[in-house]
Amino acid sequence: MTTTAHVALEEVTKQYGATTVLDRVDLSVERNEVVTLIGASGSGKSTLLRCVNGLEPIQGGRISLNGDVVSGDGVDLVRLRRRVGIVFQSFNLFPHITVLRNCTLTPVRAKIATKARAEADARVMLERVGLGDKADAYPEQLSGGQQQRVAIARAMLMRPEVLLLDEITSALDPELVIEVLNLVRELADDGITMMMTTHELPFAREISSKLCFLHKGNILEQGPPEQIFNEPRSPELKNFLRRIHEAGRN
Amino acid sequence: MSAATLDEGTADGSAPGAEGSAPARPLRTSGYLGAAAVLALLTVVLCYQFAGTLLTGPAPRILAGAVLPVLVLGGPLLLAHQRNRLSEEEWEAGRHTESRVAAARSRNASVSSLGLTGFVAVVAVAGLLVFTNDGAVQKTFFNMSFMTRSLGDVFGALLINIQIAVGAQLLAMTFGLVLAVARLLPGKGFWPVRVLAIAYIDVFRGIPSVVLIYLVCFGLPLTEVPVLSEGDPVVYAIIALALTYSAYNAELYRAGIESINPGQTSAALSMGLSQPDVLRFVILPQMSRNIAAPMLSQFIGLQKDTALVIVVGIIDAFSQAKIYSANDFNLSAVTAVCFVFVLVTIPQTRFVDYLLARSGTKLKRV
Repeated sequence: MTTTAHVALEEVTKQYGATTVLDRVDLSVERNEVVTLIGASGSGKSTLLRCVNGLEPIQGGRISLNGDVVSGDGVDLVRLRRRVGIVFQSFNLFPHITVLRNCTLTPVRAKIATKARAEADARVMLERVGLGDKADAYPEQLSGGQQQRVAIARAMLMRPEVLLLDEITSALDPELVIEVLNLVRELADDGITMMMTTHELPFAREISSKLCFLHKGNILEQGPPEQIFNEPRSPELKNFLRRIHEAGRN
Repeated sequence: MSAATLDEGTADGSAPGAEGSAPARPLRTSGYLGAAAVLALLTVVLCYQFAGTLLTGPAPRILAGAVLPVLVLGGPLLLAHQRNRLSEEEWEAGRHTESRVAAARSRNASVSSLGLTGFVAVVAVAGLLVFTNDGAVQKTFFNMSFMTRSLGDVFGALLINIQIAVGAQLLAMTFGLVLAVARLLPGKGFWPVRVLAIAYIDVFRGIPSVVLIYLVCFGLPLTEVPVLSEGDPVVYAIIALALTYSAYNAELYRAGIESINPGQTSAALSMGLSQPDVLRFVILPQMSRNIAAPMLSQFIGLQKDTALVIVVGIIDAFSQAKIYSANDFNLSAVTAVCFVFVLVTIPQTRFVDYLLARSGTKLKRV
């Protein structure tokens, strides 16, 4: 089967032992689109992203990138991961090396650039995320928001075709969230294909071309943000939106 | 409870919690003071005994064994007592906070007294042991002339110990890492490798080093296998110790690798680093900081185990000293070996402390 979608998930099933985390999920992401996964904790949002990057193997269905199957046996995971970047909730910068070296390690090892070239690129990218002066600092000298911006820069320096953002503001102090969201907004404006999970629903509504509501490993509803927020059909989504609203997050 | 309700409670005495809001008495000081006083008294007795083994004549003995210790140990004890009295006076005068502060200071002084007294007591006991029975212990173990006479040769022979220790450590660090990685290889296909690594670690951690040294040094030459049987005894000793210590080191490496947050591996893999690159650039550098101190302990253990080569007739520092002690009918030369080993290990410990402190400040530099 061929598809024109940039990222396509067909009947993807993920199990941890007897627990089914993703149950025959179908999802397609078009080029330059921003797709946001929403849903309660444990609904399978993060797992879905980790499957797309090949960090978790899937037990059924398939995932394709540009029509090329990237799940199952025989996939060059190293190459796949260079095409699909991911940024995590907990930043996961390497604490023993400087910010600059965090950014250049993989491009140099992957022979995407020479050391000199990679450093020049990294400095430009760090400048762009507003951290040009922090190149020689160590991660723990930075605030959470700054660390997360470095993590995004680090992922972008691999020039990924798709960027996955997994709850990237959930570990940040409220006043630091905005700087990271602004950066994501810029990247979206540049047209990079993104899949993300977030609890920042107003932001998701503003930036996404499509929202997917996950519930117990299934995508119950998907569509443009207005449809999801204004015309929820399933009782689960209505319930979810109501609880978010009561918590004052929307 | 807010401050307002607390005040009300104290004022009319009827509000809930009124009895709880009476000013708290100072914590007790008498236990500390009593313990300090008893220990000080016992220590003075010990000091008097110790002075008796060294000094003749009652006057110097009383001066050094009783008056001096009383003066030294009495200071903090007296201070603790005075502060205790002060605390009681302040309480009577209604100055409750001041009373509690004085009581706390009294306890601090008692603790200082306990520390000082404990130190003096240990020194006195050690001295008593060494110099008792007309200095019999001192003459047997710490005879300066025997020690100095043997020291030159002992130091010369120590080079053998250093050779064996450094050689075995380099081998054991390398092979231990190979074992640890083999043991952690993921996937079904690698299970025979994992089994081999685990079996090796289990077996060689269980065999006493001294037995292994004996087997390798005497056994390999007997096999008459080319190359294997033609080695130098020192090389065999290095191999034997490396066999044991690589098993220990493998477990240390494994603990170190597992101590790194899995998020680090996820992040490194997710960017497209290969599995070996993840190990080399992300895991090992972070791990080495975590295991530096235990690895040094391991190395010091290895250095001490080099003295076991005496069983196969290699002349190391210990066997050299043993020759001296047999000739002198005195163990002082062997005690000298103890001093030499301790002298070698202490700078290493301080060096690793320094390295750890430095890497800590490098990370925290703002």
